[in-house]
Amino acid sequence: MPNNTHNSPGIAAQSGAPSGAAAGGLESFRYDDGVVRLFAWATVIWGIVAFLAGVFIAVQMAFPAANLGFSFTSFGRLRPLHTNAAVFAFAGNSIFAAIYYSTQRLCKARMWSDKLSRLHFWGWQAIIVSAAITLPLGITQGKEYAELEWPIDLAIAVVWVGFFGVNFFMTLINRRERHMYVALWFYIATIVTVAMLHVFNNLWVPAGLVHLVKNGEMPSPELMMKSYPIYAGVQDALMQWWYGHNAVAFFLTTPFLGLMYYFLPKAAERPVFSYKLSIIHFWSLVFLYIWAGPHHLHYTALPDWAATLGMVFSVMLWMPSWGGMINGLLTLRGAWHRLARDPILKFFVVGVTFYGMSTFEGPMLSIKLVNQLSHYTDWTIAHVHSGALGWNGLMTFGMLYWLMPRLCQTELHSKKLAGAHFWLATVGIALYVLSIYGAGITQGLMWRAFDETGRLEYPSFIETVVVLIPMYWIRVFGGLMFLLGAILMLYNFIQTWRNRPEQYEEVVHQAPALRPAKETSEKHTLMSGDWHRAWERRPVKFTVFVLVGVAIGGLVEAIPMFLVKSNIPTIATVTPYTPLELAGRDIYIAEGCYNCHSQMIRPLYAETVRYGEYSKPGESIYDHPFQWGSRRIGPDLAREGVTNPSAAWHWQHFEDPKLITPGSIMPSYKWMLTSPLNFNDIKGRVDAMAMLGVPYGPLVVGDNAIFHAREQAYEVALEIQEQGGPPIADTQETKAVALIAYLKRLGTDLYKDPDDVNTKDPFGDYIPAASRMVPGDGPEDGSEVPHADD
Amino acid sequence: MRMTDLMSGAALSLFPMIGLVIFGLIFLAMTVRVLRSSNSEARRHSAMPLEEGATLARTDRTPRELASNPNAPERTDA
Repeated sequence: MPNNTHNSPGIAAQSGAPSGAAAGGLESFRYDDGVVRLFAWATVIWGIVAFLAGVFIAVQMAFPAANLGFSFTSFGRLRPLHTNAAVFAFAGNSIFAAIYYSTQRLCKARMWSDKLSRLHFWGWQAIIVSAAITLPLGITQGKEYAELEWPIDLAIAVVWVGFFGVNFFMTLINRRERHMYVALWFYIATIVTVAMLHVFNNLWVPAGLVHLVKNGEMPSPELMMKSYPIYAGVQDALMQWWYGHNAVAFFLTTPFLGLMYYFLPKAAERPVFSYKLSIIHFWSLVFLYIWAGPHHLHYTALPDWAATLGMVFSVMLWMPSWGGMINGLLTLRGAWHRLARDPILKFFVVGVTFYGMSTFEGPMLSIKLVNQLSHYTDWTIAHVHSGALGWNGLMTFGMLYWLMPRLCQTELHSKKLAGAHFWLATVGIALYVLSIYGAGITQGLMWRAFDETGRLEYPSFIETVVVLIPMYWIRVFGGLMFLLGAILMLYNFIQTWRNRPEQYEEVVHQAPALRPAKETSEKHTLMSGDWHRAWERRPVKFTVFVLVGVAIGGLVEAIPMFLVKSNIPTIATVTPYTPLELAGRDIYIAEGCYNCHSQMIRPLYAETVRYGEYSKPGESIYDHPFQWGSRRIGPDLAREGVTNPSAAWHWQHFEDPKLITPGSIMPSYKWMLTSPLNFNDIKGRVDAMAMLGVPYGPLVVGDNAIFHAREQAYEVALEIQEQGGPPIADTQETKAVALIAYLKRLGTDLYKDPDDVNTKDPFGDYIPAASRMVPGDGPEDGSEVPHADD
Repeated sequence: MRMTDLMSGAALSLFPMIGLVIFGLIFLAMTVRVLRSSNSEARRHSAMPLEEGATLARTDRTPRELASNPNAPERTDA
């Protein structure tokens, strides 16, 4: 398998140079630029897809009918597609291109296995295509940036660790350069940490497999793809944002810093400003980042100690981040005069500047008082786009403009077009983020505004939405500019590629093989610093220490959260969702409702006045996964069952939100009013939840879960009919009824009488209606009563 | 005594403290390493992206062609 060394007698004979591991211990080898070409093209193509999806859903924010009335083009389903495409397809392929190009050169070695390189490339593209198919179909775990369902999760683990990780580390082990350059450290941190985050945030029970094993019945395709995370509520929230924040850190930051430390000196033709600073930058960043996740959960039901810990470490993170930015910018010393005429340097300089701005803003937003205003508003959206478009986007473009002519072995087709791309991208980002900062701050201030009588100045949520529409249009315009720039880049690269030579030239390089590290008799004392220099030469040892460094933060936060009882005080009246509510909850997740609605009332006066009693940790102990959300494009729903319990209202609202709330930007969910609910799947859903410890008692026996769901569906349908909605026969079999049952339940547990609730066995006394009913017992309207054998 | 009881008995303020102390130690160790390292070594390392290794030869044949018939004549300009 290894193909590190290529003996080329023909070449050696003609050039008179040694070949293979010939004279003088020199070895000749070629770099595998074919795989870099593949990843570079994939970056360009997926980038355009991601930007297009972004513009499409941005238009829907201002003009909801732009979803064309299809379920698979609605905002809730496409927003995860956009984020996954931007993060894992665009940025992912970009970092792979950077890593494959620079690792080979920094190690003076070809990638260990061409086969693994190709498996990595095609495996990753297959994962992206799977995401592009499943997410619009509503197949999702409902956890931000970790939406992909369990079979795809398994594929990610295999491709990331088995193909990419093994190939990378074997290349490091077989390198010909003793010192591992700092860019490689960032790549190491990326690979091990992303693997750790992915595994721990994606521990689930697949409902379809449970159904298959328990009942011996083949589940429906929908159920087969469904899984529930093993964590619930507060613990799931901590785990998810530990993952979510560190996905930003170790997928969108550390590999791009590696990219910066390699490609910026290349483009500037200058060495890195301070290698010593880069060492401090690396260890401080890697150690601090992992702690910062809880700042996404300020004032939520997460215990205060964890949120404070996240805040403190986030603020500390500012320093290493700026150390890196300064190191990047000062690398250009002596090359600033080239900036005006070199679009590559322009991309890099503005990209690094955006890194500095984002990493100043991030710590600022993590401060609780600032977060009070910014959380759930568009401010966060502006922040992530300044990072994703400004830092990741511009760094990627800079790298591609440097790389593509070299990969195509010709000149760039047009420098002018590259310059035009730079300005379109930069002005586009500026328009995007400035308008959305405006939207975020405006809405945040409106939510908390009180009039002189002490009442909310904008009690109707919609008042705080319609005011944002002009800013949403500016965002669309900014996004279009960014997209247009990327299309220019694609055209430029296609023209460049057309000028490629008939056959790519393969450059043969030569370097001595690496001899085993010398064991010196010197003692490595702490004060000598030699111990670290020794790690820098030993990839396995170095990797282990990086893993220990990143694991400490996660463990110190997670262990107390999972083991300290006082973190999640139980509430006597909180019981599991009924089977129908559970099915409704799964529809809520599939439709991506959490992308627009939070379920977390913070203990802030403005929120309790608007939404009701603040959310308690004990209320979400059966929430696999938690659904607290991160953005309020619509109002919070944590107490929806208390404040808005009318079934007919919800039915009509799904049909035409604008009719109920003039000015609403929620799209119509008409299809849910006619889509049939698969009652048989409910059995598998309940069984999987029971496996996670949810006390479903007799509902896991036989078809009891289905009977229970049908009975409740009938009750909800009857209520819709009684409140002036369509007749029972038109509603009781639909998905909408299940979703309404779920919404009617939200936040109600707190108001139940503890004497009426058996928390240990809440369904203990359940007997299917068919067994209870006597002949002639039924509704007066003559509609069909649910039967056990339905 | 279960692990849950043990952890519940420990003061929560201990956990953030542990984190800060560990970070302080790592930061200190790194600072020592950086201050003690030689400037010439740092300068050499900082220029590593600019090196690509000695170029031995150029060939316009694909790796597959080279693998199947490495001795066939070809253009070189080393």
